[in-house]
Amino acid sequence: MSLKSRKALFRSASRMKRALVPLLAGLLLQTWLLSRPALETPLQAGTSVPMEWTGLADRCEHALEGRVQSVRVQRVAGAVETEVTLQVFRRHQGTGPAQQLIRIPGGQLADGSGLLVPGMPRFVEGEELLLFLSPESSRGWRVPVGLDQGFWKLTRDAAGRRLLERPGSKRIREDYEEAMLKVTQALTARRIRESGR
Amino acid sequence: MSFGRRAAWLMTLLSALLPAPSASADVRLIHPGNGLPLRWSQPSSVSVVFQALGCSDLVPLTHLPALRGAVRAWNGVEQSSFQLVENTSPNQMARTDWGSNALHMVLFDEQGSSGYFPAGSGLVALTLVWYGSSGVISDADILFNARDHEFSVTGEAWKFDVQDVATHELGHLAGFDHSGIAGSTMYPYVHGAEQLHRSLAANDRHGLCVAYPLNAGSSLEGRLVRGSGSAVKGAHVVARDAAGEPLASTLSNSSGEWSLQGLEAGTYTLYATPLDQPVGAVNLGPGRVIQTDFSTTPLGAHVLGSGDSLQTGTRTVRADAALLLGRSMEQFPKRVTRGEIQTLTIYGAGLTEGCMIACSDPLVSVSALAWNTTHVQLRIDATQATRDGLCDLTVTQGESAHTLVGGLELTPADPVISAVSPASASTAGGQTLTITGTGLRSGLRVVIGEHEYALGEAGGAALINATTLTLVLKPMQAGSHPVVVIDPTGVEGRWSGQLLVEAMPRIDALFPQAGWAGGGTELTLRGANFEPGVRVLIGGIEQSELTREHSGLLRVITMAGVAGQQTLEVLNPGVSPASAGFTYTNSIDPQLLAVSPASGPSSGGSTVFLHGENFRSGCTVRFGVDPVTGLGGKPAAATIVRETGLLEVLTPAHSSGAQSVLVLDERTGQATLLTSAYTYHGSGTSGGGCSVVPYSSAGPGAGLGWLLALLGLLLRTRRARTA
Repeated sequence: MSLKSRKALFRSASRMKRALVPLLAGLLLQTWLLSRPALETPLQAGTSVPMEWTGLADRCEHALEGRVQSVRVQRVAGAVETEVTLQVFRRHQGTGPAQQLIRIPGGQLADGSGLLVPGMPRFVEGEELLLFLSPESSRGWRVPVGLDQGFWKLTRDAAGRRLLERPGSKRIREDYEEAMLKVTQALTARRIRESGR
Repeated sequence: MSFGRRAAWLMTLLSALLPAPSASADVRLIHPGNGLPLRWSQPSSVSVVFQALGCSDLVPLTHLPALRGAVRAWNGVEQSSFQLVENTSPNQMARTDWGSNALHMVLFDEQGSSGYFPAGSGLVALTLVWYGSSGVISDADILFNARDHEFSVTGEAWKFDVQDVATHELGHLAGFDHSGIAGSTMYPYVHGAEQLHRSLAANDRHGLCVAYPLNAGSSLEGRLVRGSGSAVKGAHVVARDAAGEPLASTLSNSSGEWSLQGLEAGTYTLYATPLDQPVGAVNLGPGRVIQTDFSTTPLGAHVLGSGDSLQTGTRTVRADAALLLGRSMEQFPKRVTRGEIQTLTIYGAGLTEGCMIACSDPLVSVSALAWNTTHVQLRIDATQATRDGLCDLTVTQGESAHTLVGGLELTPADPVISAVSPASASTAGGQTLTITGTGLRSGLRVVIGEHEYALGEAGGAALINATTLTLVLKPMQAGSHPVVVIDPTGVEGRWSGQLLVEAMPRIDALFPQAGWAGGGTELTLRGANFEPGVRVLIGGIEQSELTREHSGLLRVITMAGVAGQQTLEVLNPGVSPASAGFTYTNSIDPQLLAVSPASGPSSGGSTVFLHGENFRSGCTVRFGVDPVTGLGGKPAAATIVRETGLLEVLTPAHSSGAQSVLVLDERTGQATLLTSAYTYHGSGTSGGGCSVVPYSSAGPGAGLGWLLALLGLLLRTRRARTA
């Protein structure tokens, strides 16, 4: 390799370094911020810590997009649970089958009795959702991270632009592409942090 | 089809045929199938049990006053039949089977064993509400996620306030869903160290009155439609009083009809606003339709007389607008301290130059410092504000408006505790504590350790004046305890020091109560809380020969002292002493060394001789006394002092067994006691056939007695040398 080529390579590497420094610094800052106690956000009661995309990405075991195929309520030992079958069409975090079964606590039984967990989101057949799901608890239950906060409806505006909508809200809508960019960044930061452990 | 299923179908059918009930109070939990509000069938006594273990983040038992404070908030609502009744049975509080139907438990899940808190869920607490097909609540339990979150009762930053969270969860237990009023206790979100949800907002109180009414009150009704004539479902309708406080709210039903019941006579300003941030449909339980395609719409002011039912008619809501004030990511309510000016930022949408903003309280002035589209910086002037409670903020732009309902909470400044006297106390309680400071007013509570002291209640605190209150301490755990004054609004003041509570020694019995001033008297002190390092002083002189047998028994051999009545003090390290009277006399202590014969019949009446020293006239003798305290026993009849070292007595009747014998100098209080000195035999035996031994007899019993006497004298001499 000629001296000129080596200098060019060095300059290129230097430019890359300069570009990487702020990126790495940003990731480190983000990692540090995420490692702080997560009380910057409120709770719900079903009470949870309020979170932005980073908080959701940091806590979830699964981040996925899917359609609710079926919802079934059943009595289990000392509780009532709702079994939701999701047809998954995109995964951002975690692995699993195309049809994913999740069980959440609460629901109404056929006899009209039931268990209500205030704050627990409601799954409706046919809805398309972006979900940030917790790991399973000792009883095999998952919940959307932060309850309503990890539960987004996939929708489109009149112009066909993809949106994320807080269920029931017309005022809080996120542009899908912008939101997913933030989610991807947050998940990347999480992976870097976890691989460094 | 089972009966239960038939009943459920019937309820569903009925609900379909009848008009859907309009929510008539601040948002109720409803049966997802038939829309009936969930409720308790016996609301006047809903039992709750607080699991005694509490939370490892907290000093043991200090969760109890916090939880009781939460109960007190709901029970304090007048005009409602709803009452939570705490079951304080230790057996109940020790239970861990919280899932049992008849048990409504509040507990901290420290291991995640309930299964309701998956790791990373972000859940801090949950209320599980079980209901039947008719909407009657059959069971409810509250779980705190103590595995993933830290809790506090001492206002620590970054930790969740137990009382604040518990007050909210008890609202769910009562049958309430989340409220659209941002300053309400039933607002869905809570931050660490948040305390303002400890106290109920006006709409929380109103909601309870309507859900479980004692009186019907007055009502306002109306209907909401769009310009197209279609009904607006799930619109948030709010009534404000003349002071600008949102007092009551409801949601319109599927026909757009709304009804606010249980109102007192007065003037109300009404408006309808979309339930869309910071609270929205996603925060509510299933079974509701919430439409938000309109902007905040004034519904006029209405004068309501007592018992009136006023129909306001059908009103058309304003067209939708991209204007929003308040997002769920923010902490609500925003605290505004009366008498102060402050700045704060509120997030939203469409907050641009040209918008106007106003507060519902006419005595609170609000001006925008900077409009930044997604947030606005405000200057809040509450120097003229005179009341506590919530205020609305409304942003307008042209014809469009959005109201942040109850987003501000007016509070007084934090109470301040400048002094607490005394600064130390006994675990036994009973001491009067005086707290001085500022901001002390009616309705407050004091929390110390595991106890709360509410003003005006039995066993509570007494407000002497605006700067002083007193209370009598209840028995409490040893340790350093914060002293906290909690204002009715939930804000609190903490003493910079801590109340030192230690096990104060207690003297139950001192024996004997007098002794020779030359010292050498063996004292026994029975009591409690004699800690290692305990000291005993008589007349201010520390007694060096002290033996702590255990926490309830001390033995002291007295040092020489000044004749006369003295104070005997028992001191634990760092704690106020326990004291008793003790008399030094100029007479040498009597000394009982032996009894002969050493046994006799239970029927008594035997003549026995007590050998020893310094027996004086006026001595009395008792058989069967407590060997430590010298108390109890039965007096011997006919005590005769034969000589200074010999008493002749007739034994009293007593049950069989070895008994201690006491010789007491009634004149001086000096006494001597010999443990197991005399054995009573049951009837049929007679002390070896030698029930009466003459004074001059030289029988085998007497010989043994003298032998013991000799041994006793030797010991006495040795002890006197030591003293």
